Amino acid sequence: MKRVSLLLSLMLAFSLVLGGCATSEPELAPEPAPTEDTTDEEVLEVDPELVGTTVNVFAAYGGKEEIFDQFEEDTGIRIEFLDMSSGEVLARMQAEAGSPIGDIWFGGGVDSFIAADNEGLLERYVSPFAVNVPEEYKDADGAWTGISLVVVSVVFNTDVAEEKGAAIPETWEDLTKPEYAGELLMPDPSISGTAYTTLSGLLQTFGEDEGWELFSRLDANMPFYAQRGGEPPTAANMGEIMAGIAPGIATGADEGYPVVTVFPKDGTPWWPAPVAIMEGASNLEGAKVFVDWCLTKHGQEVLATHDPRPPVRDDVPMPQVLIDTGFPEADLMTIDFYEIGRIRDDVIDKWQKDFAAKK
Amino acid sequence: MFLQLERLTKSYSGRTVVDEVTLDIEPGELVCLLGPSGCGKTTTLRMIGGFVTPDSGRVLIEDSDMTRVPANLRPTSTVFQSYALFPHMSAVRNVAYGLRMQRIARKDADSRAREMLTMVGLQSRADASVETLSGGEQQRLALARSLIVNPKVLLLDEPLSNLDAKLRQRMRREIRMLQSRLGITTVHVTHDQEEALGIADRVVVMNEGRIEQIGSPRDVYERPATRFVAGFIGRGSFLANRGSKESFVRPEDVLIRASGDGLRGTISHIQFSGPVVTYFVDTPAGTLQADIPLKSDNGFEVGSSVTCKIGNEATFVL
Amino acid sequence: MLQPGSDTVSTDANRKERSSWSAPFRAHAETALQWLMLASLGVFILWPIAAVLKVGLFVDGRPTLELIRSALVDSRGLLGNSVFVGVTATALTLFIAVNVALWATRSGSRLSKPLFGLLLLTMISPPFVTSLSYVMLFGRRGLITYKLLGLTLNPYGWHGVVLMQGIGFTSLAAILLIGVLRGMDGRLEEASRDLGASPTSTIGRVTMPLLIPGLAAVSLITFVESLADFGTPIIIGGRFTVLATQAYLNFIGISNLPVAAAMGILLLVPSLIAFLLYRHFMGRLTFYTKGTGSAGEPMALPRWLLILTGTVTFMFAAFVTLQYLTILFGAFATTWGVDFTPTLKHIQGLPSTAFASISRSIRFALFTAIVGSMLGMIVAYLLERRRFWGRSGLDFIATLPFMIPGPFLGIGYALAFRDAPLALTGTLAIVLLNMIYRQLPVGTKAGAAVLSQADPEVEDAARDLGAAEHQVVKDVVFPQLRPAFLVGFVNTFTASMVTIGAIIFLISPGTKVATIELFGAVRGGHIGVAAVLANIIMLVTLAVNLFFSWLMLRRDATKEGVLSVPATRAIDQVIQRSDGGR
Repeated sequence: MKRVSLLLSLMLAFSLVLGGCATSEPELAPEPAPTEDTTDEEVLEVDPELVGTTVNVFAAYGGKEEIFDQFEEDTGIRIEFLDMSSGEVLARMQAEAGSPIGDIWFGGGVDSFIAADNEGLLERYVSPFAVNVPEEYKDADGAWTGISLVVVSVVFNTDVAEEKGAAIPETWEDLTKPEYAGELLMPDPSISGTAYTTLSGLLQTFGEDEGWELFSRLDANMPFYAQRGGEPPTAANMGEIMAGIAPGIATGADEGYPVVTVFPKDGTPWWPAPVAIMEGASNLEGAKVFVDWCLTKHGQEVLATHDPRPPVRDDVPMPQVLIDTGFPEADLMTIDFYEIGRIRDDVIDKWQKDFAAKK
Repeated sequence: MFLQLERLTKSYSGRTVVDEVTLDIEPGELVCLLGPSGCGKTTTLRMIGGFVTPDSGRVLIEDSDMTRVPANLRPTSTVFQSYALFPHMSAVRNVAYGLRMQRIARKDADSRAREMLTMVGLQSRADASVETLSGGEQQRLALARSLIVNPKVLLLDEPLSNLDAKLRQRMRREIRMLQSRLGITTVHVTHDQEEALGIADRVVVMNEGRIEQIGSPRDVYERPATRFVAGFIGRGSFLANRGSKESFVRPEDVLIRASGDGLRGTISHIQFSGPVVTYFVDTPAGTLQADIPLKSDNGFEVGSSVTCKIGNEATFVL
Repeated sequence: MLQPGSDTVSTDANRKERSSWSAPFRAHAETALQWLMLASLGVFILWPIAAVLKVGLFVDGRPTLELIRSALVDSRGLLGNSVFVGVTATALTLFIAVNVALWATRSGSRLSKPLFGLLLLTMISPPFVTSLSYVMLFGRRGLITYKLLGLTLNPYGWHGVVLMQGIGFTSLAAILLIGVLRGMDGRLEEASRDLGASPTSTIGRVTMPLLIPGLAAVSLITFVESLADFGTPIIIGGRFTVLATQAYLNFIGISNLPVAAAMGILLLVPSLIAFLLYRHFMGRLTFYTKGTGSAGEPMALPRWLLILTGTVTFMFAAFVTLQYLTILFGAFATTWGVDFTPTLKHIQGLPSTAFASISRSIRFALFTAIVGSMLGMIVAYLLERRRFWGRSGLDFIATLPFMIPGPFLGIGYALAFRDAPLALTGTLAIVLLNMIYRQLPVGTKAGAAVLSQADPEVEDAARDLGAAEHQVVKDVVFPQLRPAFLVGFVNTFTASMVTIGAIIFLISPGTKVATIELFGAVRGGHIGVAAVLANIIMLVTLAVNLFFSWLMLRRDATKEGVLSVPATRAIDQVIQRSDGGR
């Protein structure tokens, strides 16, 4: 594996600029890792004054403890984090009406980030490392930058399927079959970004009329809508339900649950999981370092190691487990995130009227 | 004068509880405030102790005005009706508390408290918790706790009312002996006339917030100044006189005979109570009680016609 | 021997010296204290409530009921669901709790003591834990329903919510009723037997009527708790939702602040109605705790009642024991429902941040329990022993947090303290203040209950012996308040350790506590980790409570009595509010 050296330069350059005379070379990191390929080397410079400071993070990301530990080790900047879904973070920011609640918003639904940016709750920052991130994964003005892709899958319990004599579904169309009646669980789209992206993705992929028609047949197989985004995969793990719509793959399989991951072949919803700096961040410079770090090749590899998601950089390999679940064969939907953000109220209204009210 | 009350007045929500009470008390004197419940005697005591601020009037001790001085700075000490012992402290700690408040070192305070407990006969219970003490022991402990601070005026608020009859007699004697020996000026509140007459140098009879009479126990018994005092203290009969007057007769001042001069009447009820026999005689002026010593009892029966001779009577205008 | 006059002079001098400054100082200090208390309760209780009302009742600065109306219309019968669950869960709680309380006090069984212990333990219930154990035991792949009985049941719906709430609230209800039964004057039952009544009619005609005020108080507490509970319906309600859940999701999930506030206000209505009903019908009744109780044995239950109460008690005890064992074993099972091999991997795999959060929880809870109880004692002292302007207002405000659902006050804090002059957003202070003031009623009322029964003459006696006001408080009032302080401490500590409803709106990355960690584990479906965290929270809470109780009560003879009476009376007074003039 190629390992990018992370040059932890004790940023003398800063004082040199102030002092106006260059007298010595910037010091290198205490343990400059040997690199195999120096052409790829990216240098993340950390102002020494930031070492020991704390960045407060609101996170919705798997393996965040390990990711943050690695960041601390690499940069000397401490992380305090709170596990919160993006809708909750947005709600908190709105409730506090501009009083900063933290520095970094890490992972979650891109719709919440777009909504927050529309309300001026995000600090715009275009990271120098963002050049390696494709246009469709980031905000042009730097309000947020994608760090990985969240791919919606169906977590499928094979034990329950066997019991009921049901086959493993391959498409959304499959999931409308009567053998899955009462066995499909999806979160409330007014609450869950996963569910809303799925619903609006279906509408964009199949066209509005056909999309709603397909959704109504899916709806017929759902006993109710879950109140939390994390509930369907958990319920599928526990066998409470046969199929649960989930962000990411069926991680429960590692814990021994009889579940497999299904990427619907007729269109797999996805979105870029962003990182953003909160407006009024008290440790703005530290927050910038964090964003930079996430986008370095090294950072991307750390992210992919601890939460198996497709990375946003081409030069970072896909996690093996994703390849094993058949992700490369999945047909990702083409989704316009600004558009689905724009029509959100209409879609939710129609859903409320035609579906939620009937449950 | 040692303790002076000058026109003390106190009202609660428009009701006057203590009304212009004026009283002078000599050093070493034991004065009883006596009256029915609600007569204002306890409120008066609490004004002396500093727990109630009078609406008007003054409290003076040795000529210095104490009216606005808070309780903790007054040279008075109270034995409360409930004893108000500190439930979370041992007996000796209760007694030592007042000394500790005078910044006396704990060791010193404790040893003096033990001496005081010895004086009231509680030396063996010094380390007992308050709840384990009997009623009489609690009473003595409360007294010890008050005496140890050398109060200029000792205030006793119905101190014996929670004790049984025998114990009450004994504690009454003990308190009086201790008080005389220490020469401590004492104000004692009670609704029990027997207690008041038996212990006091002077008795202050109160009714509806006002003083009805001040006098020696003998005075208030033998020469009641008002109809209230007559009716409240001891037994007796009111007889209707001519016009608007009525007279008051003590039962021991009545002699009954089969015939002769005097008020005629019929015996309606007889009550035996050991040394005396009490006859209830219905007369035209009202029912008369007569106590006849057992030794000179003639053995009248209910329904007998008798003549009553009255030796001594007080007359009141209605 | 006493030596009259031996130190009269020094005593006099002492008195004179102190009189020169302490009287005016005392008056000013007290007035200042009263105003300080009024102001602090106003700022930390009234203002947050006002902030929610403002958002829920005003649109563009104009008062309107539009939000309330639309919340009512759009809520699709949520209010009805809430009331329905509240009433049925309360009925279930009452039924079980009465049986348990009767059995615990009247069966004479040696098992009564362990039962009481079980009740105390199960009062400590971290959020989501009962619901989690319900799914683990009775879900479609539940240990009992599926593994043992081979059933595939759908456990989601109102019946699960009612069952879990009903059983969850029973421990507290039973403890309170046991307190009432123990405090009851046993001679009344003896008198009834003496007059020819059978044990059955004595229970029916004397014991139960005397229990009515207790039952009413317990009903009200349970009803309000049920209305405010959003965790249970979220996890096991399935399609069945209630107002509290929707208010929570509106705030947390879709950040619709005005609708969340309006739903919160809507949620207050049934609470308030229940409270007013209680005050109206029960206001005149009091707990009959006076009297020293019967000298003899408590009256034995009639046979049929012994069997009934015994059966209900046994089933209840078995059920909660099973629940807690499930959580205990869940911490050591490799993958619940699939692989029950014992393992330590959940404990070893606990993220390092979890320990920081647990340590934070303990420190925060200790701080809030000590400071909150002290504050409660001070407010109780002012209410019971002082007459001053604003006293009844202070009493009312100090009672309010008890009637207000946790999320409501959490949202209120978030709204009230985001701007100057008191911008506390993201600070440690806002979390601690919220914990302290939410639990203030119990400490305050426990203090008031103890003081109202304590003889005020005891304080007069101390004054009389020369104690200045602060010495009276230090030497006489506070020592007597010890049991009330303990009730306040245990309650606040426990509540702070398991709280989530209000602080979830307030915490920041630097103030993350153990329940938040637990919430994350439950949400992420990590049952093993959630079980480990739940166990740690329970053990720590239990250990600290036991240690503190021992510390406070080691000198007292009647430990249980000391605790249960102020606890019951505290709850009674929280509801009734002591009437103005005494």
